[in-house]
Amino acid sequence: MHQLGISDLMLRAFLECLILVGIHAYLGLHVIRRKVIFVDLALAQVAALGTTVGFLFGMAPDSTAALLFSMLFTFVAAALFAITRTRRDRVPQEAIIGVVFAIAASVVILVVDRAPHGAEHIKEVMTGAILWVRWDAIILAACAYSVVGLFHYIFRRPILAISEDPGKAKADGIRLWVWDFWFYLSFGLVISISVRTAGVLLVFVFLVVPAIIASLITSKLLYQLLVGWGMGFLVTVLGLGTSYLADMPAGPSVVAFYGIVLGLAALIIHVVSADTKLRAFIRVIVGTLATLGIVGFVWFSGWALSRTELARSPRGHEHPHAPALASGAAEPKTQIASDNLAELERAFDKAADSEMKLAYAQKIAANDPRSGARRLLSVLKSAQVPFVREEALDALSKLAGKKFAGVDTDKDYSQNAADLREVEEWVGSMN
Amino acid sequence: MRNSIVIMMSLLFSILAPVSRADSGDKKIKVVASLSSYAAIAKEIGGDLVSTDWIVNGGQDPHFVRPRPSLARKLAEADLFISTGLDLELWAPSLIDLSGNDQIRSGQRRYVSASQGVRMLEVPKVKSRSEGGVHIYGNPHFIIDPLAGEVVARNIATGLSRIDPEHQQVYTANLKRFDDEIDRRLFGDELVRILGPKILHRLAENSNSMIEFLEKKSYKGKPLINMLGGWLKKGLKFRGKKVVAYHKQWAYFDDLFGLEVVDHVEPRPSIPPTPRHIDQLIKQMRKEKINVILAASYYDLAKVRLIADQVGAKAVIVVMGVGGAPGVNTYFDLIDHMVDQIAAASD
Repeated sequence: MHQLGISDLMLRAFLECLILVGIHAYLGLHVIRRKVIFVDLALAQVAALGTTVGFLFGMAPDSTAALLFSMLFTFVAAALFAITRTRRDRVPQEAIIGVVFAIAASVVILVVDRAPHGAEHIKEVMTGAILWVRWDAIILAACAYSVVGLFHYIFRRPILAISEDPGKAKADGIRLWVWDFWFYLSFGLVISISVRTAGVLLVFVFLVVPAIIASLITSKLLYQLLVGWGMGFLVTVLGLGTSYLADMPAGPSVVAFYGIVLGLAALIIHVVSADTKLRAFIRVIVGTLATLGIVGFVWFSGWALSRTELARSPRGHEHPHAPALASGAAEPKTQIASDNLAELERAFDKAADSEMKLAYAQKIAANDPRSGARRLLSVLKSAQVPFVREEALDALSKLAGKKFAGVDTDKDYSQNAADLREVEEWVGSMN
Repeated sequence: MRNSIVIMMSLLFSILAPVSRADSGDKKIKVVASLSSYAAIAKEIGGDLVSTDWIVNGGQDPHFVRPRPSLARKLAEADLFISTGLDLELWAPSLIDLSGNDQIRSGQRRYVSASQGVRMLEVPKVKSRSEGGVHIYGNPHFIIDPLAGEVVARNIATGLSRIDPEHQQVYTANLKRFDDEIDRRLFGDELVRILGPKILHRLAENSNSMIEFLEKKSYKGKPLINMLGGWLKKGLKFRGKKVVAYHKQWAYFDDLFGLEVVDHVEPRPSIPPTPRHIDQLIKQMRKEKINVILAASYYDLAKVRLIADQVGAKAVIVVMGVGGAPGVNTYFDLIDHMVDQIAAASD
């Protein structure tokens, strides 16, 4: 506990990622087979919508109530997807999925706009906060995913059949919409839990990227699953490691690494599976060079454009009132440089407020007690601030070597005139 | 539950038919402020002559506002618009464009720049966005400094007098009353009487040497520090205390109350916390035995609490504007709230 290292900070995120990889790499294979790539984006967004609406009802986003509420939303969407998987191809299911995604995403923004910390919440819904995952969330995910995994293992035959070839499954007497519903229900359960910690983007890549790479390499489910898991493990290690070493946000790092790994895998598979390996290799090299060229051009354009007038906001960002630094500060009284008596007396006459006058008078008294005393008396009579009167009286007492006990500095001159006579007489007696 | 239905209904209505929150009394001057705290001060200065409305509530992040139709309508009807006037409300120009109310543009007659004359802190030497959300004119979160509040009040009084010269005397009188109340609540009645606002304000510009001054000097044989009251007296409890803050928005408060913000949860302003930074932060907090984390209520409190739990520190969640929490209804309440929260965590 006292030795705080990489493990204290990254261990939970790492475990959570592995748990996510376990179930998502598998479900991703279904998603690829069903050609409903965006179903998870839609479900994830619907889950986020559930959390957000729950938030408006007063449920904390990380509470159990919010989780149940978001599951409710997801199940409704799952039911919708199950019944819209028609065999008539007039409207592809992907279109319905897209519409659900767009609507859910928009409503999240509409709802969140009414809530405090809205902007932060939206960002969190997209990128998640995998670094901040708590142990109870990890345990919950592990348990729930195990249940789903077990369910899929027990009923692997019908579930696989309807994903692989729905036409054949129907002919075999499998009730399509029932199993579709069960599939989307379990899918929704997984998504609504994983979105809470990982965010929409990370969940999407966890689901789709390992499945894509695995499908490129082999067509057998078991091998695909092993490839997907291996890939997920590798990317998790790379992404979280980079996040720690380069000090970058954890979730987006992992997403970016998925992109890199996917690109590399595609290139390698292209070379390996080509008939003439040399030609494929050359194509890859040329392609890489072309990509670098494009990146270089974009970078150069950005660099060049940012230096022109075009890069300035057309609206301009004027600040007619851009305030001066440290304005309105009265000069500290310690900055009286001169010791020249005449100059000090001139400064005393010019000084606007009694505190400044007091400072000059004290300085003058040090050089010429008589002149100083006269000025201290005038400060004592004119000052509005009790403290300044007190200081002036103190200075006068010191000069006189006696206390003027009758003077009450709480009172100003008009109430104090009689008591001040003693001081006036003493100042008058100086020569 | 009924509450939620009300929220949902009002949500629906505000989408369909945005209505202004301000009560539109007869011929009242409609003052709209970017931040609820400015609106609260405008109410103190304008009294019954004005109706006030605002865009960012006390519990919301002033950096981000999504333009909504109702906000543009608010601005379209505004007789006076108050904003910080720096680069805090970057969303304001678009909203003003949308409202079509040209008179409330920056620099125009019906515009008040709250920051004018405020003593700016943390003005960057190098102006670059690579350092995160740096505010190039200096730290704009000055409203939590009650003395800056007086400057804002003066700017608002000037603005109100400009568009409503008939009632200039009322605004000036209200300004004086407001300043007086701030001074009394900040320094205590006794000290205001003895030293007067002018000297106190000058001293407060360097609050640590002010405390030294008060300890050294005496009035009628009693050390001045014994006469200190109000917020600064309460704040003695946490003067010099080391804390960690979430966002770099405490400069003015620290400057006045001598709180020492050692580091921030965000590695650079408005950049989300990264693993290594949190790692270092936790180590530092353990080493230096820092037991308070300060955060505005609109940040991700789960993160703040997580770090606090790890090092056994207290998470102090404060609202940064009027209306952000129940009971924080006036500008005075706001400063009360902050000082009380931090003092309570410093036991």
